[in-house]
Amino acid sequence: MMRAVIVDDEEPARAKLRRWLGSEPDIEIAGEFADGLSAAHSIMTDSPDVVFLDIQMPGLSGLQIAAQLEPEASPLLVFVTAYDAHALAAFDLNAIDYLLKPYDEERFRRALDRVRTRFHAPDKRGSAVRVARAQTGISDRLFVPATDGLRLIDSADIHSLEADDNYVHVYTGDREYLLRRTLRDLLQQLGEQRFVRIHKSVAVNIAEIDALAPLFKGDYELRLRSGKLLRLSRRYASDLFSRTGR
Amino acid sequence: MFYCLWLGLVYGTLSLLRSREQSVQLGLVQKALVESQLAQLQAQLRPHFLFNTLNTVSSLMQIDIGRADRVLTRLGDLLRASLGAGDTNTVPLREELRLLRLYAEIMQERFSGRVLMDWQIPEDALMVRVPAMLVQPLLENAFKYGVEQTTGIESIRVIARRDPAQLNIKIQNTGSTLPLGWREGIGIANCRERLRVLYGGAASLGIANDAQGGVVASISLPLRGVPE
Repeated sequence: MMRAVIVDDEEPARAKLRRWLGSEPDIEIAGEFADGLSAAHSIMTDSPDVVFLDIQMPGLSGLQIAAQLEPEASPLLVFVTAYDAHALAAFDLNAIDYLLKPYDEERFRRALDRVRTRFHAPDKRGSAVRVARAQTGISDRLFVPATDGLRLIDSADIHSLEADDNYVHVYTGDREYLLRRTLRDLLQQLGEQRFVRIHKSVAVNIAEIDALAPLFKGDYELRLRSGKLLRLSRRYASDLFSRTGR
Repeated sequence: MFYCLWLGLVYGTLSLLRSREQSVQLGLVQKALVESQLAQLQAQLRPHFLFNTLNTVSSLMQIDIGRADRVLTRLGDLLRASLGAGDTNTVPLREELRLLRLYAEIMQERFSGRVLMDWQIPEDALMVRVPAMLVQPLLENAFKYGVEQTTGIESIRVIARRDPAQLNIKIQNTGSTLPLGWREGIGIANCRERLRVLYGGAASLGIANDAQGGVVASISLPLRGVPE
């Protein structure tokens, strides 16, 4: 059984997908959303298997939603769009599934067959997310699922990112969030201009660095403006110095 | 004799080259013309509107053939009108309103239940001539910003009023305000340029936030000296 989510701001467009998806015995419609934010929240908390995602929507576009997902854990994405020349070229180049409006049942079934194939051989899921990120550029905001909806954090407000097994702790001035992501992926999404790695499992916002004091063996003690102390390991020291202009 | 022949050959070749050059140039001019016409056509057809409407029809026809047919007919009328509209001709407001309603009805079908339309058009305004397709982009903007980028139920009001000296048209939408530092886009600039060409300084067009937390576009046209 595949759990599918439909995202489109126009009711007739949702109705069409609902009708055809609903007649498939191996598909359960897990949700329908008319705007980007509620769709993003559902995708992040409910983890559906496949999302039919309209690109043009109020609040958040389908591409912006996709850019926020963790590539390897992302549901299968089928972009549904009326007209989006730039994105289409990138979709074709990277074998990303999409449906062009209007589409007939035959094209819908072809797209669904590709989804089924991918569903049973779950590799290369991340490419849709990566293509979406290439289309939208670096995310200025990070979406964090909370109990009452999505919390949107400005990437400038993030002080440090600290990996912990399969999770990353995201520290802002006054709060801490736990995300099931890899540090590498998070840095890729947020862009490496603002953040610098100081340890295999820790990155900090360059603007938040306050002071450095040498320790033994080439390591340093790094103090953030908030007063928090972290260790800068020798391996990452030269990179940090070259980027902070020591 | 041979010399003449030779000369003739050279001149012949030269003029052949020249005419080829000319025809290349002519071709370039024609190409540019066709390209600009194409660009114009593309802008008029507004691909997002066109494809999303077709998708609406594709969905509706599975459940309600009559409704699907109505949307399709309205789309056809609208396309025909936008292909026929020149830059300078004017039409009675009645005719312009017909197109505005076609467009609004299609959008109401697409955003089912999310748009309330309110038309306040007095009888004495209907025959006043207005530039064809002038109000259309303003109504499109009202939908684009007031409806397409919101999730609630919004309303759009089209108001006409005839004064002794001028015709005033207002398009009001809820659901959006002009962002800080907002500047007019090319669409509005084009509308204004058309007004300047047609009426000199006697007509005006303005976009502003209104008191109800929405946006209002106001056009005013002189009643005298209106071009046919």
